[in-house]
Amino acid sequence: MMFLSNISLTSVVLSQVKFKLSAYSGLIYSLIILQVLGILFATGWSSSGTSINNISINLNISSIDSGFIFVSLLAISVGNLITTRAYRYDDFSFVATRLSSNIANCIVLLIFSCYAGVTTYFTVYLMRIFLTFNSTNEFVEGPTILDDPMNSLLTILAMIIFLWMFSSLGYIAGTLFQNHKLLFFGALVIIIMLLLTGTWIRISEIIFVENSSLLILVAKTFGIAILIFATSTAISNRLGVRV
Amino acid sequence: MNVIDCQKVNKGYRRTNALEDITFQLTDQKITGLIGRNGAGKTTLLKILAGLTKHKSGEVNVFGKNPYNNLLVSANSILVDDQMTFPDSLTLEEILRSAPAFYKKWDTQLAVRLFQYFKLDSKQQHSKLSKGSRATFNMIFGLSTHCELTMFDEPTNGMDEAVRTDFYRALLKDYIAHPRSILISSHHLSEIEHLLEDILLIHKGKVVLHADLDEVKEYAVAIQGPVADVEKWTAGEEVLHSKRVDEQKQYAVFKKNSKLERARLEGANIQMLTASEVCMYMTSESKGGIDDVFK
Repeated sequence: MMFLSNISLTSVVLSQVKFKLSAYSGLIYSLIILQVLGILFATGWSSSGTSINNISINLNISSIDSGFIFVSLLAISVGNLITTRAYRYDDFSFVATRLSSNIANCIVLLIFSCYAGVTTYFTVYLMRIFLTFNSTNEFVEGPTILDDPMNSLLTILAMIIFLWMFSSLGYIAGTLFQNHKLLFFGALVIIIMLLLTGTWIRISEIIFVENSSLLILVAKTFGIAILIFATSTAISNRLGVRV
Repeated sequence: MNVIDCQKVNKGYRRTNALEDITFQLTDQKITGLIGRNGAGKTTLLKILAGLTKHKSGEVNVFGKNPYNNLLVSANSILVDDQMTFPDSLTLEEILRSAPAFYKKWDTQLAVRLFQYFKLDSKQQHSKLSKGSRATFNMIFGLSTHCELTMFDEPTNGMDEAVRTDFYRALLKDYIAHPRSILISSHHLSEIEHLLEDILLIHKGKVVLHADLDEVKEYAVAIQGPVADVEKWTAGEEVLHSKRVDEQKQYAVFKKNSKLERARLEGANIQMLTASEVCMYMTSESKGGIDDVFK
């Protein structure tokens, strides 16, 4: 008599997420390095100067933008990394289906994005300390999270969702590349050609620029990320393992 | 109940046909040997059964379900081969510790005891292991899952003699304690013969023979005698293999039949074959042997 273990998709996905979080925890080091680089690059990110009579005023603005750009690049490469053969095959040494693997990857990337978004936001405080000690100029602080908690939280949320969307871009590129090299380059050419046309620029303006509030932008970005992950899942459904 | 039910399964890679009309059933709680020459299609068949690759046509059912992308099949089956990978960021100990979350019947005690017996280093990474140690670790992992369908693809590749013997012993002991369906592929049938109940012989992507071990042994016999006599005895028979022993004598292997008694009376030297020999002759490409190459 056979006794088959019944296992639900949810429980497999949860086990996979837990497993992946511990297996990929080394990525934290890359994140920290990039955040530190972001702080170092932030000094004098943009500056402007005016002079009235004999007094010249030089304004240096330091922001976490450079840090965020570095972390975004990391998000793209991590999204791409976990679609590579070695990472994919690891899943199938345990219980997995292609659907459960994709959902788990998507959740793991979201969790990483949360971590990266929150910590990157708070590097601004580290940067301020750094600037206070290292700058000979008069130092004017921007608002802190306590001054405007709602807006700050929304900014953090926006950073998280943007990082997640960037990781989804890396993810779909990786999935395409794994599936069919030709398909990947074909898609790349089509995207570049679309980017050169006016309509595409207009579409991205509508999506990313013309928003009445940050929350709408976040919602739109979230939707795009979900769409990209779903497409990747559909594409990877016929990928063989250990071939 | 059938654990595996394959009907006319086909699978091809770009130019070659890896599997052609594979049809067989496997009932539960048996150790079956999947035997075949190099490139016969053993690995391809196992990968399809484990749901790792997709077959082209035909019907594959494992526990009554198509294994490709099926959670029930994945949770109750495992394929152990030398291509198994585990994340490098985890030590062997951590890998074993994360397994019970996936495999409900995971036997922690067995895993730990085998791990200690084979003296593996718990802090080691999977990819840094030597070929033999990796095979040993994969074997421990596969056995400990206690999956209802446990498949091994050339599990002893790279293992030394002592570890091989221990592995077969461990497999048998664990099977007796926890009966389940085990499919083990090998091209060294003589080595695993004592474990097997059934043999599934495949050749060039086709099932040649699926029978229990005794039937396989009885399937063919070898006969030796003067050339003219051997030719007479085997006339019209399906000769699987024949070779000249010396100037006068001929050696031939053919399917067992009623004519055998007459040959025996006429002074033929009839030899029983081992299952391994039967399988070898049934899958040999030519009537001659390697000697013919050097003629």
